This record gives sequence, structure tokens and C-alpha cells, in this order.
Amino acid sequence: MIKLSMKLNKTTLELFVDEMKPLSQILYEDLDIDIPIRNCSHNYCGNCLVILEKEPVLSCLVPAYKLQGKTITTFDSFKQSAHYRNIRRTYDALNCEPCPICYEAKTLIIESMLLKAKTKRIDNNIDDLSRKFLTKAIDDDEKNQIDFETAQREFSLNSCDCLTSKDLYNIVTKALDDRIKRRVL
Amino acid sequence: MYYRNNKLIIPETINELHQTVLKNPHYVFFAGGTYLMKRHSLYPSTSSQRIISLEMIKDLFEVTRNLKHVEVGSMVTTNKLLEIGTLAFNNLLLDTLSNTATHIVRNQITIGGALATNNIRFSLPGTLSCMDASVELIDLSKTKIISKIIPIEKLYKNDELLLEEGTLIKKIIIPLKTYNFERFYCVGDPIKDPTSTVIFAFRANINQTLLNNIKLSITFPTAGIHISTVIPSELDGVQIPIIPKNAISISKKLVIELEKNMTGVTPLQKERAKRIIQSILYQITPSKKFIDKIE
Repeated sequence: MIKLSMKLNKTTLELFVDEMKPLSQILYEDLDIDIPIRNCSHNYCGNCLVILEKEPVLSCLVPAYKLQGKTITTFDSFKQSAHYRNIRRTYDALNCEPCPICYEAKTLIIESMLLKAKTKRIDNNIDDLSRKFLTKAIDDDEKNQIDFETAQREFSLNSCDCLTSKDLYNIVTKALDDRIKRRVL
Repeated sequence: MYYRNNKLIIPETINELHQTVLKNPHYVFFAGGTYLMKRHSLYPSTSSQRIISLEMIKDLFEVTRNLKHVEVGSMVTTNKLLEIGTLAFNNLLLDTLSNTATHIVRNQITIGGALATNNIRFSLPGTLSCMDASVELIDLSKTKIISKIIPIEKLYKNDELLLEEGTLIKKIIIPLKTYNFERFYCVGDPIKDPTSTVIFAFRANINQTLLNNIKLSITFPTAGIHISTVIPSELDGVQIPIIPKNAISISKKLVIELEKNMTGVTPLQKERAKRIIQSILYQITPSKKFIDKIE
């Protein structure tokens, strides 16, 4: 057993757990957070995604000892962010969203793809003209980073087939456009 | 910081790791965790097996490069390798890395871990053996650390991993040689449906109308890796275009070779292997339209 100290949804927690206990089970059993792990049977169902230090991870693959001093954000907390509102707007605009079973997981996969695309930012100390050209170049570069095949492969992490690959790809590209347009950082 | 409690040990250097291995008879090395966390035996566990985490050993994260090869520490993740290798590696390895699982899981998969999985083979070992890569192993079970370098294909015998207890993959040595015809195919899902998946890594050099430097590795997740001897001997020095009749006969020879040398390959996998090699041979052969254009 180890004494684990971590930050969950902006709350600092301390608990005694087995070193190898997966994060998904800590959330479900020790912290009573509803996370859909019951039908997983260690088969990468992809439903137990959480955000660990700003990176989405499968919580069933993270042992307790790796969480020491780390920050974990579950979907409930992510829902209050501007990033979630951006994805939600896209669902509404396209009138298309994942089923309730995989809603959280697919939304977090979309978020991970958008985070991966939005890696470059522009320095504030440059003139307006350069900023304009650089912004356009970076926006184009970001759009090119997500192609249909990549999107299809990324969504294969979640086994639920409630939406087609094309629908999911449309959601990602639209959300990325929206994020670029509104400058959601 | 050298951390240890009843079950978990986190050494910081190779020497600390060596001492840990000598003192503990029952242990398992823990790298990224994508394979081990799926094993039901790990949690809850009643065994006295210790877990030795490799995440704090800096030597295992090093990446060095010279003109001939890149040396990659075994704890480097596949995403990291993909990032640093974009300009250095050939397309065969880049395709393999980008086709391995998804971005989220790749952040956790380590190169050493991908090579040292016990009962199942994924795409990386096959591709690395096709590229003539080798591994540096360190034997920690003796009083003195012994290091040796062996080709990747020597790590496996059919579906068996030949890594002895107390031996650790320290680094992977990847040659920077490129070939002008490289293909990677992964048909099926090696995690969800391993018995029907076939993974192909093929490389060759096409010099004008001659084929040489051919190597083909076929990975069947549950049956193991097969380095074909028939395909190089049939194709080495062959003039292209290869006529369709020959392509069919070569693909049949590959199936016979698989039947002779591999056990546990399903009929679907054989059929897939046959079709993939035919597809590769047709790609080597320029299409009729292309030949007409040249003429």
C-alpha cells in the first residue's frame, strides 16, 4: 500500500491504495466517481478516459504509484471548460453527437486530437503584418494535421460504433475550425 | 531517489537496478504498462512478486545518433520516437509507429516494452527485424553486468520470447539505411482480433529493372514473426516487370513456406498473407498503362 497524494478536479486528495491499482478502479471504488469500466474486461474499450496532466489517458492503464502528485481531471470537471463548450457547440451545429454510453470517451478523444493539432502559438512581440501571415500559416498547418485516416484510427480506441467515421471526422474538423476562429487556447 | 516498499521498487540507475535484481528472486519489470496493466494477475495480486519500475533510470531514455544508426533507449515511448524520427527514419518505421494503436495509447507504449511482450507480437518487432535493427541486452542476473548486442529476430523463436530472466533490453540500434521500395501493411486489429491479423514489413531496392536487398517479415500476433527465405531467393536479381503468373506462383510458395515453418497460423491469415504479397508484387511491377507511357 502507498499513501497517494493527488489533485482530482481541483481538490487535493490523500488516500491509501495498492501500488498497482488502476486509476479507473481508484475512481470507481475509492472515490465513488461513476466511470464506465464495468464492461471493459481489460479489452481497451476506451470508455475510461480521463485527463492526466492535460493529456487524455486510458485510466485502466495507469497504476496508482504513477499518480503521486499528479493532477487528474474527469469528464465532469472538463465539462466546465471552454474546450468542452467548443465541442458541445459543434455537436449542436451538426446535430450529431455520440450515444450516452460513449459520449464522455468520444468527447475526450476529440479533445485529444484538437490538443495535438493546436500545439503552435504565436509570440506576442511581433508586428501585425507578420502576425497575420503567421496566423494563417499555423491555422492551415493545424487543419492539415487531422486527416480522415488519422481520425479514423484515433476513434478506433473506442469500440462503440454509434457514429460513423465520417460523422466523427466532420465533428473534429468543425470543432477545430471553431476553435481557430474563436481563438480558444 | 531510490523508492521501495513491499511490492514496488523504483531504482534510479542501472547499478541500483542490478542490486535490486540480485536481491529479489521474483520480480517483473514495469515499463509503460500498456501490456502489463491488462494482465489480471497484476491487481489484485496475492503473489510475492515485486514490481521493478524502470521509469526513473535515465540511461534508458537516451537517444543518440551518428551517421549510420540511431540508438534508442528502451524506455522511449513510440510517440516520442515518432516525433524525433520524422526526419531521420525511413517510411517503413514511421508507418509502423503511426499505425501502432492510437495517439493516446502511444504516449504510454515504450519501445522496449513493445519488443518484450511475452505471448503476443505487435507490429514493431517485425518492422525492426526487416530493417536489420539490433538490441543491446544487459544481463543483470550475474554479479557483473554483462552486455551483448544481438539482431532483433534472435529475440524470438516462433511465438516464444527468448529473453532470459534477469535480462533487460537497454537500447535498440536502428540503422539509418533507406530502401527505395518499402511497404508496411497491418490487416486486422492485433489487440482485438489477434488470430486473424497479419502484419507485413517489406523492403527492397529497385535498381533500374533489377530487384535486390529484399527482406520480408510477416508477423502473426499469436503465432510469432516469420522472416521469409523464399521471397528474397525468388525475387533477388529478378528482372521487373514480374508477370502475373510468376506473382501467383511466388505467393503460393510463401504459403507453403508458412505451412512448413509456422504453427498456429489460421487459414484466414494464410489467405491474407498470400493476397498481400501479390499486392506488393503488383506494386513493384509497373502497370500496363505506365509501361505503355514509357514505351
